[in-house]
Amino acid sequence: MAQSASDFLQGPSQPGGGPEAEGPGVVARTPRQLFWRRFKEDRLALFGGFLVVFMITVALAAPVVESIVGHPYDEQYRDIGTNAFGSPNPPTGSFIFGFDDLGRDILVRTMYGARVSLTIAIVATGVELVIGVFLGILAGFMRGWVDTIVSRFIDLILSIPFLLLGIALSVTDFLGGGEKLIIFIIAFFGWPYIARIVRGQTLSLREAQFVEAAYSVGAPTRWIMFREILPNLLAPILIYGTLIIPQNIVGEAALSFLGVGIQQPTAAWGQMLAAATPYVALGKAWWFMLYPGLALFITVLGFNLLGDGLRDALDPKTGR
Amino acid sequence: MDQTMTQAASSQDPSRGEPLVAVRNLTKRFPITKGIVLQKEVARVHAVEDVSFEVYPGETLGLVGESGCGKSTTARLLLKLIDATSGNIFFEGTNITKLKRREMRPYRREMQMIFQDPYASLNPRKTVGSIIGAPFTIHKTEGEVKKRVQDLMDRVGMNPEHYNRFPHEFSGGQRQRIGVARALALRPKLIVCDEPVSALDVSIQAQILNLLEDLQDEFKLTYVFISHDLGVVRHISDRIAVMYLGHVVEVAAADELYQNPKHPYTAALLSAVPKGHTDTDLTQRVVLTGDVPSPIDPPSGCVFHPRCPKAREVAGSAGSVPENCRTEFPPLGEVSRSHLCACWYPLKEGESLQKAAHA
Repeated sequence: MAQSASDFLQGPSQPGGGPEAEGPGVVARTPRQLFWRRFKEDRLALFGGFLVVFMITVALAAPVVESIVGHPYDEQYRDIGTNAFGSPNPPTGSFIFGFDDLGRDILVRTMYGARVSLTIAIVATGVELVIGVFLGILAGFMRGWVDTIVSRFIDLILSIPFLLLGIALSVTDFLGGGEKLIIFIIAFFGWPYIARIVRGQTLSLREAQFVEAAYSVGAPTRWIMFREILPNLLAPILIYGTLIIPQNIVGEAALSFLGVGIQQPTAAWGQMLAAATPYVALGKAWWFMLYPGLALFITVLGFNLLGDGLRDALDPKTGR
Repeated sequence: MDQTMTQAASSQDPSRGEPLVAVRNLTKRFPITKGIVLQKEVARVHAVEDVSFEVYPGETLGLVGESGCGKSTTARLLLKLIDATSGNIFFEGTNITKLKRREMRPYRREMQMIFQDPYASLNPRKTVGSIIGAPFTIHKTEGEVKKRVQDLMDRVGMNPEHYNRFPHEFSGGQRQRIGVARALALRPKLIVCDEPVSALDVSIQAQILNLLEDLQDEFKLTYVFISHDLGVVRHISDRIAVMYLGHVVEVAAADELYQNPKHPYTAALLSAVPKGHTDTDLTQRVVLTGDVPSPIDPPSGCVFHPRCPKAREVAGSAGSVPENCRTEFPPLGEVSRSHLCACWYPLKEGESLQKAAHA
C-alpha cells in the first residue's frame, strides 16, 4: 500500500533541475536593470518623464531667461504693458507671452511660478509620505490602542475643512506665512489619506506567511515592519505619491488663487490665474490665463503619466 | 533541567538519550469573540489539547492527521510563533514556553521552519538573495553574506547566479528550495516541515523529499515532518505521531504503526490509503461514519468515541459506546515497546477493524 507510494517517490533526484535550469549564458540581472528595461518600453511614461524634466528645466532656467530677456519678474512696465483702461497688453516684441495686469512679463513670471509649484508640491508630498507611511505601518502592525489613537486622529483631521483652515491660518502669523505655511497646510491634510491606505495594506500584510517566516528566523519588529512589510507597500505608496504630487500642485494653486501663502511680488500660478480671472471673464487678455494655466496642465499631466509608468515598471507582476 | 520534564516523561525512551525537543501537556485554545468594542469571549476552538511527545536528535518525527486536527498549530507552538494556552515546551532541556521574543532569539537559530505554501512564505518584493540572507543579517553572523547565500543555493540545487531574482520568477519546486535554504541558513538543529511538499507536483515532491533526506544526513538535522499524505510520511519518518481533533492518539515507529496500528482511528486512517492496483482491497476499507466533530465543542471523554467502530463492538450494539469512552479521555500509554496509544480498547495485533465494524 503505502510502500508503493514511497517507491514512486524515490524518483530520480535532479538537483538544479526544474524548469528554471538554464545554460551558462544567462546573466543575473539586478532589480534596477529589470525596472529600467520595463520602463524604457513605456512610451507614455517616457513622455510624462520628458514633461516633468521639461518643467524642472523651466524652473531652473527661470533666472537665466530673466537675464536674457532683461525683464525682472517683479518689474512693472505699466507704460507699455497696460492700456488706457488698465487692461494688460497682448504679446509683443520681447514680451512673447504678453503682460499681466501690472505690466509684468508673463513668460518670466510663469517660469518663476514653476519653482514655487514644484518645490511646494514635492516637499509637501515628501512630508506626507514620511508621516503617512510611518503612522500607517505603525497603526496597522501594532493594532490595539496605537491603531485607535492614529485612526481617530485621522478622522479628526479629515473633519477640518481644508480651505477654511488655510484661509484662517493665512491671516495669522503661523510659520511666518509664505511657502512654509502652504507646505504645512497641504501636508497636514494629505498624510491621513496615505496613512489610511498604508494601514489597510499593513493589516493584511502582517498576516502574510512571509511575515511568519520572518518571525521564525527571529526578526525583530522593526525588521518586519520596514524590511518585510514596507517593500510590499512600495507600489501603493508610489501610486498615491505620484497621484498626490499633481494634486498638491493643484492644491497649492488653489491656495494661492485664494491669496493664501505666496504673496506678491513672488509669482505663483494660482495667484496669476486669480489675477487673470476678471479680465478673461470679460473676454480680454487670454494670454494672462493661458500660459500659467498651460504650465499647470503640463506639470500635472507629466507627473500623472510618469507615475503610471513607474507603477507598471516597478510592479514585477504587471504583465505587459 | 526543569523537574516537570522528567516527571512527565513517562514515554521517554532511555536508550535514545536526551530528547532534542520535549512537549508536555501542550494546549492551545483560540478564543472566539463577539462584539467590536467589548470583545466578549463566546467560545473557544480547542486546536491542540494536552499534547505530549518528544523528538530525539537526528530522527524524523512524522505528524499526521486530517485537516484541522491541530498539526500546524502544534508546529507553530513548537517554534513559539504562537503562545500556548498551557503546557510546556523544552528545547534541549530548557523550558522555552515562557520566553519573551528577545530571549527567544538565540533559540531561533536552532529551530527553523519550512512552510507549506512556497508562494505565500516568500516575500514577493525581496530577491532570493535577500530572503536566504535575512537570517545572517538578523543574527549578525560573521562572514560575507552573499558568498554564504550562494553556497546555500548551490547546496539546495539552485543556480547561485539567480541570486538577484524574485520569487515569482521560479516554479513551486524551486521556490520550496528557497524556503529550504532559508531554514538551513543558520545550521539549525531542528527543522519543522509544515507540509513542505503538499503544494507541489508529485514529481517535484520526490525531489524535495530527497533533498530533505540528503540534508538531514549531511547536517545531522532533526525533523518534525507534518503531512496529511500518509505515503510521504511513511517514506521520510522514523517515528510517527497520529493526531485527531487536537489530541495525539498514537505514537510508534513508522513501520510498526503502518503494520500494527493500535488505535481504531489510525487503523481507519491507514485503511483509507489507496493501495495501488488491486481493487479487492476496497472491501477492507474502514469507512468512518459522520464528520469530524467541531473543535469548538469536542466530544466528552475520548474525542473519537462518537465515530469509533471499536467502541461499538465493545459495547455490543451499534448505538452505544462503553462508559469509559464517553466519560474519560484515555491516557497516551505504552501498549507495546515504544508504541504509545491513547485508547481504552486498543486493537490487538492482526485484529481487523473491518470485523469490528461489522460485528
